[in-house]
Amino acid sequence: MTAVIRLFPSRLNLNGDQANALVLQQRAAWAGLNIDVIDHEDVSTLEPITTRVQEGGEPLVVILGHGSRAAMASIAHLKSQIENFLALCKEKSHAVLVIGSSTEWLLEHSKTERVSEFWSGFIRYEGSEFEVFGYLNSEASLDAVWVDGSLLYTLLHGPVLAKSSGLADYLISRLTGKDTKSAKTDEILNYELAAIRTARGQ
Amino acid sequence: MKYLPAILVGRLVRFAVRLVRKGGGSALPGLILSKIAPGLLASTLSRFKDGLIVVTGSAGKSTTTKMLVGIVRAHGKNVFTNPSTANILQGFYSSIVEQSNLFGNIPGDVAILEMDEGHAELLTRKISPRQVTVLNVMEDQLDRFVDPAFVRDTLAKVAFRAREAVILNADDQNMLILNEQEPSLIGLSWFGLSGEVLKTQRHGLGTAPTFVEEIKRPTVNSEVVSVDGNRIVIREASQHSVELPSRGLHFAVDAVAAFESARRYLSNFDPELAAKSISQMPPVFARGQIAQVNGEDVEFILVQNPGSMQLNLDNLTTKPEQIMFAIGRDVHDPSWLWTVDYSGLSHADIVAGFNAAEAALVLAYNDVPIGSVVYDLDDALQAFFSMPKPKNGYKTVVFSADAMRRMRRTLGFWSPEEDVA
Repeated sequence: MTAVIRLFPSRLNLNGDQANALVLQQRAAWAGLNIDVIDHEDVSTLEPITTRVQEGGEPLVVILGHGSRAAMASIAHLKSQIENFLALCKEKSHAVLVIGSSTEWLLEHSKTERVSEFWSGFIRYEGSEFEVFGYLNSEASLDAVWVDGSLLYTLLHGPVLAKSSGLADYLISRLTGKDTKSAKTDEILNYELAAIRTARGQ
Repeated sequence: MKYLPAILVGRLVRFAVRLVRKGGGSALPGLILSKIAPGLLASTLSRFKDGLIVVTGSAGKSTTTKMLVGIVRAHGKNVFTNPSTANILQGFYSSIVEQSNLFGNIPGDVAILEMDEGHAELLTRKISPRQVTVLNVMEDQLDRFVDPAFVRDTLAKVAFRAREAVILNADDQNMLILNEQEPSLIGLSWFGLSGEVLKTQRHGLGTAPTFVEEIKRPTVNSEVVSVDGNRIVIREASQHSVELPSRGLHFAVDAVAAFESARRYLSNFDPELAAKSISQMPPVFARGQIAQVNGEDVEFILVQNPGSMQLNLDNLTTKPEQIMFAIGRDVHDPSWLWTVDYSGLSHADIVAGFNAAEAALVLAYNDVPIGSVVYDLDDALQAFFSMPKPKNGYKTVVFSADAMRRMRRTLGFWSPEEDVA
């Protein structure tokens, strides 16, 4: 069974970050493919999903979203468990999307002046090149997107995959081994491109 | 005399702009006045004998302020207030251009102003309010405020500057955290909804979660104890029935906040008169207002953040047959649209506004059927109002603030008194 695992989705959804799972699930569904979304909300331990990754052979996408200061403080005690879990995902080649404040939290950095803007750029992710679009509001001195094996860290927040459907489809193909093209994704592409043009002020 | 030239300049600019654009021309005079006479605002506000009352928070400011002003006026006080949407500094200056004499004096016993969170902090540095009402903290304008905790910290500064009374929402844990700061807030009292009433709201009141152990709810001074459609009952020392201007639990919160705020200010407070005053209040524009367009009823619903969007969608009690969904330029970062549960939205006949594409994207991913996406707001309006009257109910327009302002102009719902910012 292929699945997207969302870590603490009710906490790490400040800018609609958990909708990245919706994007993957819907695009797959429109192509007749099934992807389960599994939520891990328990802030006492990561053990159940760690065991799943250790034992399971199915491909996974893990999403760690963007939270408020209060939300990040509420999972602070799990930091080493989360780091170990991400290392395990990397070892097993599971894709991980780390978003916004979670990226700031997990990657060492200094602080610079806060930037609030729409960002676009090209990234290389596991041998393929994708254009990534999204909103950024951060004071961290980090690249907007940074790739470490199968882990993708981004300072962008919100539903990054909704406006970066090439990357979304790549992740779905990793999960299902199939193409996601459908009449609905063609229709959605028009909205996606128009949203990008609007955000860029074009 | 000191401010006479500046006020004359402001009035001249207002006159010139209104020659060009009917119903507009209110923002620019305020902006100019704030630059050439920055001390005018504090000077004018400090002349009211009962001082300044501030209503602030993430959501509900306009309605609460209107209700509070209505109650206070019903008790015989002469009130200066700002129009809804003019709740930032330049809007206050615009109100002075509108309402002061040439010396910057405005008649009245008290100034009751709704204030944007950030601008309330700036203004109260210069003039200490008599009383501050803080409604809530929501995950709102994150491109500007970054984090709800920053908003809470900003509102705390405003609350701690109150000279006589602070009125807080007992159902927002952010307010309870705010109250834990030292020294104690002056003259603190609470408003809220009873547990029974709160249970009826599927997504709660939309306040920013704090993710800490829940702080015990304080004893509430004024509380909504029942809701039946538009009719609510507020319990203070006794119970008082109130007819809300529009449906929705958020209006109940606004009403009880206004009720408690008035109780704290007025020495001759009459709860029955307060209840009657709220009941007689016409709806604030676009807060569930039914208006006539081309001879047919249209409901206008303003959404400004995830909380207000969710509350409004959850309170679409009738299933509207015809819906326009317009997200304008005021939504600088539309990411928050993706935090909302759209299961209460059956469809959107037309998606419009500057952020129409992003809105269409989020609705499509949430399986909300879309009729068409029309990027030009005027074209969208024409298309929407060309649709035949719905068989049941009325047309419904859900829009953000910028789309609302543009639509008002196009539809001729302009009012210099209201449309200042």
